[in-house]
Amino acid sequence: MDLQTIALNVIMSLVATAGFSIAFNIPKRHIFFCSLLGVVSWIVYILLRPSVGEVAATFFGTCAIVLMSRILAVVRKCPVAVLLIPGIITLAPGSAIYYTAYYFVTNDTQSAGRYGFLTLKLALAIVLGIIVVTAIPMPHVKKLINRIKSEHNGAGDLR
Amino acid sequence: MNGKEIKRAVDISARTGSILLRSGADITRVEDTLNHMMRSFGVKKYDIFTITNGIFLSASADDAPEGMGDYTRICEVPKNSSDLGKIDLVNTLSRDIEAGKCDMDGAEKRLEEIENSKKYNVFVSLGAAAVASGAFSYLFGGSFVDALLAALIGFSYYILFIQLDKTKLSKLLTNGICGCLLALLSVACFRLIPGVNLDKVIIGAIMPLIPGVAFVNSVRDIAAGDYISGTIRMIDAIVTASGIAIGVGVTILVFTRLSVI
Repeated sequence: MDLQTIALNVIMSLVATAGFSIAFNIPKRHIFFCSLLGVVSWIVYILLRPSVGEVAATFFGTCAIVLMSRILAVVRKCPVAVLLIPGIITLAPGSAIYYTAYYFVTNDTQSAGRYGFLTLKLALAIVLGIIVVTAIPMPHVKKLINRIKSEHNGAGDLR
Repeated sequence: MNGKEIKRAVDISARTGSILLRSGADITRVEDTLNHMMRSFGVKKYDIFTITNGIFLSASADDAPEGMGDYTRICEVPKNSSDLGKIDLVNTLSRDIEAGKCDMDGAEKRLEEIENSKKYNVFVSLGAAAVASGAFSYLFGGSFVDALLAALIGFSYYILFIQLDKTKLSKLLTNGICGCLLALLSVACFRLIPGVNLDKVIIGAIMPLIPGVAFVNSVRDIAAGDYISGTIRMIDAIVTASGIAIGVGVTILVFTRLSVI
């Protein structure tokens, strides 16, 4: 993948996630960070996709964004959902849902089945990514950030 | 704490919880927030039970004899939307209450403000949905023309979506109608402008409808052990996604039979 493609992908995923942040009514002060997480998950996805396939790439993209949003939520003292949801949309299996419906109505049962199964696998990859990273206990991060920001009251939630 | 204060603390907590649920917060967050609030208000004996569409709260005064002087609230939360900004505001409020910066009077005032807090201007939201549609069309392999068309289509059907979302129409129907409209517009563009990739335009344009909040929250609820709430949200996500697929599918079926595409 050349540099220009990557640069265009970065810009487009940034714009897409920022658009979603506004559609979800996220306050202005969080939008930049939401977009940044969207870019990270998308870049992880497209860089890994050629070597490990799209399901595994989706899994790792999800892991990256869940991990980063948990850490950023502590730093920025906001709910994890605010940072996580706009960014994870870039990994949503929108195209797989479309192709499933398309082949279903055009009577191409084999392709419909293949894409339906792919949709399921992509959804499961996202599920696994969220569950695996949510299960990691992060008391050290919380303590570390507490120490750094000791002048403030309490750290954020690590969920 | 006397009975009157207990009642007030429970009422404020119930109101907070219902704002959170209506805005699409996950169950662990709602229960944590309510726990923090009740404790910070000084309520010692209380119970909280939350599912996606309801909150059950009960508390009793310190000096009340066993089984006496309980105050219970049940809150129904019929419809969830996604307003992550409100979740953020409530989060800040609950932090302030815990830090002792905000008492019950302050909390009531702040809740009033949060309930009336403005969303982004409709045109800003529409523009955002349009830009997101276009960008997704490009990310999924569309050309710049596809992206531009996806943005225009995203803008036009999202107007309808915002209106339909306010009504009591079922999610299946709302998303079905929107899916139908966006497929219709995409087919029109495909016929009028040569060199357009129909699939890339539609894929970009459906992205704002994808039930991301419901799906992610469902998974997080199930991961946290809240199986009932997780199931409710998962069904919600599946119904929404099916609505889109049916709307788009039926339109494409009709045009395929007419040999237009």
